[in-house]
Amino acid sequence: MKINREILTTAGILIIIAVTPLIFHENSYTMHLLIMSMIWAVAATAWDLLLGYGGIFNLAQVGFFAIGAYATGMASIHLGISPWMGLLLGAVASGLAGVLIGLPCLRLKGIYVALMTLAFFEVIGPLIVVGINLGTGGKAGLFPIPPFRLGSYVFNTDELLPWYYLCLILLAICLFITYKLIHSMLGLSFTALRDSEPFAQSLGINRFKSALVVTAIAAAMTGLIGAFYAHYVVVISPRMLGLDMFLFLLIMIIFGGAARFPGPVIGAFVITFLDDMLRPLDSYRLLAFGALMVIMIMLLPNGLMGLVAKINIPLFGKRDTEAEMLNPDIPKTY
Amino acid sequence: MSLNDLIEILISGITIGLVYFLIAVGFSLIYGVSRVLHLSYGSFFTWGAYLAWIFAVKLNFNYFWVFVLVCPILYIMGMALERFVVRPLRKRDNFDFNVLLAGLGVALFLDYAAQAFFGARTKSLPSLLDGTIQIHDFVFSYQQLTMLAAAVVIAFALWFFLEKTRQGLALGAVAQDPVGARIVGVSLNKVYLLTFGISTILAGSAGILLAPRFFISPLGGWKFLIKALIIVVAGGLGSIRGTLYSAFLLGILEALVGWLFGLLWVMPFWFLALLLILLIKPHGLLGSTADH
Repeated sequence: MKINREILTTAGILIIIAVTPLIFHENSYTMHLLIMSMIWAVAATAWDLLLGYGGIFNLAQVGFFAIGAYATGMASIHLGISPWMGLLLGAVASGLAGVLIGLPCLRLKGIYVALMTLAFFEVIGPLIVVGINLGTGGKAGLFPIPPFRLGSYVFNTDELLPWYYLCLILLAICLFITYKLIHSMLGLSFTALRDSEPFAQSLGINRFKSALVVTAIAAAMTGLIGAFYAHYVVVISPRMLGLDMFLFLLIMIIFGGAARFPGPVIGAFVITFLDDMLRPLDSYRLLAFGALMVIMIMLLPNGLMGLVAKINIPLFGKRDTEAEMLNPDIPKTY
Repeated sequence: MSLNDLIEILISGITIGLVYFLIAVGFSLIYGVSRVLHLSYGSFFTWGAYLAWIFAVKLNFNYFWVFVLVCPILYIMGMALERFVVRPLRKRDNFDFNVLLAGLGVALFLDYAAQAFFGARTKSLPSLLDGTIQIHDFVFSYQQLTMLAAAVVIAFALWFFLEKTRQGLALGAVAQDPVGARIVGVSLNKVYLLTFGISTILAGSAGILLAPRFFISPLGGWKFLIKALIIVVAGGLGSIRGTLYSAFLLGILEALVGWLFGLLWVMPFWFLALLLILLIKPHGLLGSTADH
């Protein structure tokens, strides 16, 4: 594996996350925020795969998160399966849902995908509410989702450290998959489709197939972390399908930099902590986030990572000027 | 289900369909003319209702004056959005992507601005007109009839504008071929401004018409944005007649499903209907295949 800026930044982030508990492990609130940041980081990175790298406006991503959460929640409460299997089940269920939604949606183009997936996203909530007889818990939510067990040790809310490192492992796995995917043949053809579809197709890339595979992978990663989330917060309800999370994930992607791996991870941490700091502002907080989102798009369309890419910091690896010269579009496009 | 029930369902479906048409047509118009997927559209629906609330409840104007006062404000809001957010983005790469996300940001801003100013609790508007009228076996409320009449008037005004005025024809020309329209001397920027202004009026007035029936809440516009999306996609993006048909179709479906199973099932059925329509006609009822 060639060492480059992306790997160095990602490794740096992961190491910082890994050592942070040395300072904060007694402050359970900060630990909680860090865990939530990691959860959002995975969801945002997976979404960015489609949105940023693929240019596919899949707006149903939060729905996959909910599907993963409900899959493990329902299975571990009603069928009594182990939460570890639940993680897998969440990923598989979401991946399958991704394929099911992708089949009709991805045959469509551009804006139609956004419309269809947004419509789908809006339908999941009502479906959970009306499906109360199937054990979804309805409007009130699903409760209590059992915690993970390791031998005789049961994960509990008093000790966040095991949760923290489990989440870090999941984050690392997802970031590794994402990195590998972006630089694989599949990822490259996926990005080529975004930049010039006719050209990519003339090279023999099957638009539908590669879009479907990437959608399934992104959905599975989102489902996996959704399943973790369900066990971590114990209660899940259709409220998670509200607008807040949907918009927050988008802000994280924009803030960190769309198609600027690992930008969305940085975005997730910054926005989660910023959100917490602005909590005293109450409803003005979301107003401010809306304004921030518009301002970022207008002034800094490539986000923080776009800014970092412009500066030549030796620590972050050599700037890939050769690639930029060969393809002047690199810094401009997503 | 008796015949009378059926007629009642049809009438209520047509009324609601006509108001949905007003919401959806503005959205369709913006996409058709300027190729913007306008995700803050629902917030203008909400703001129309809130502005009407200020004038009708706080300042005690009657509905005629409410419309006269609110429409120019909405028009200016729509134009400001085009001028200060959409136009700068138009000059850059990835217009589709950026404008979509910027639209979400604007929606977030407007919705929570509404919450900050008006509070999170729902507000209600007085009905347009009180009282009921009986024709044969059917009882109509004046509210329903004025809603129907107002929607017909607005829809007719829109038709007149688009088909009979120079400005409206310019709008149609840009929708068909922006380059061609420029060649014959149509200013694209002016047309975009006009489109955003008019669509915002359509969204806002639909908000005013529906507010007495539903409650006004800061995030209430999203439900109607989604409905507008489904109607527009089912009818064919950019096709106004297709939007009209699908609005009536889905309006009647809503009345029927609401009567049979309850309102909670409306959205799943709408989605099913959309899937069916797109399976048979991938570009919607009247969408052209040339559209992207």
